[in-house]
Amino acid sequence: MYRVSVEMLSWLLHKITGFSIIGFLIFHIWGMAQMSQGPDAFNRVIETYKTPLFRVGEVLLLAAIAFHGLNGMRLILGEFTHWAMQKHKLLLIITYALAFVVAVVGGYLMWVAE
Amino acid sequence: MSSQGSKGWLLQRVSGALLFVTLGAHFYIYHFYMGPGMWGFDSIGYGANDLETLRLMAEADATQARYYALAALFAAPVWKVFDVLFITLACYHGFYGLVSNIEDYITRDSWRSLLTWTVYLMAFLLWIIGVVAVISFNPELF
Repeated sequence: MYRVSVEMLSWLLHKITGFSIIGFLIFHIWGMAQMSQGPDAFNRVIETYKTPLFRVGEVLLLAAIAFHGLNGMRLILGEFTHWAMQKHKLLLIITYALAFVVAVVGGYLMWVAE
Repeated sequence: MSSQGSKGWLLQRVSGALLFVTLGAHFYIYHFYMGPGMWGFDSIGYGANDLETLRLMAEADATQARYYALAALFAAPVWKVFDVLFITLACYHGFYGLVSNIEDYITRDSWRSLLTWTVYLMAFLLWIIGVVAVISFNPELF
């Protein structure tokens, strides 16, 4: 029961983070197109990214990407190796723990980096 | 064009695994590496004849430092190639994931094919915009 519910949560989180990251990808490439228009345009976009809303969003984005990437690697391992199927419970714990560490440590470093 | 095909299934895993590595590099470079600290060594700027000029321009105007740091990064063609590859992987993986969800949850055939082709068109347009932005980036134009 525990396993089923945590795996269902992972399945749901994988979808939610996936959709969020696509949203960011569209936004990010659109921003890049503006940033390639010279130093002034570049700095205007960077200034926007430094506002509190975007900085919080950046940390949330890191958390979403960390979970989606690590959970995706867990799924790939489970699909291609017998070992990972046997150790699925351990791998689930590792996925959540690592995603948490990456989000907190990376988020902190991003936050203090300016 | 079904996402249930085994080739699509495999490509989604391959692109996902490649993104795991390339996105990590992308994130590290743009958040922690690119900036004033990178001027001390020429590990990424090889092939950049005007790296010294860019460094001086960055020092002359601190508000433009990030812009010239990016210019120095892109002065090495390998980073443009890396970014084009990265955009390709991201667009493919993201929008294929979207198409898989459309095929799983939209049961009406007409809606499904309309949405699927809309997503493919969006992916293609976004890819073009991204690739043009990377390739056309040229600080000497300004």
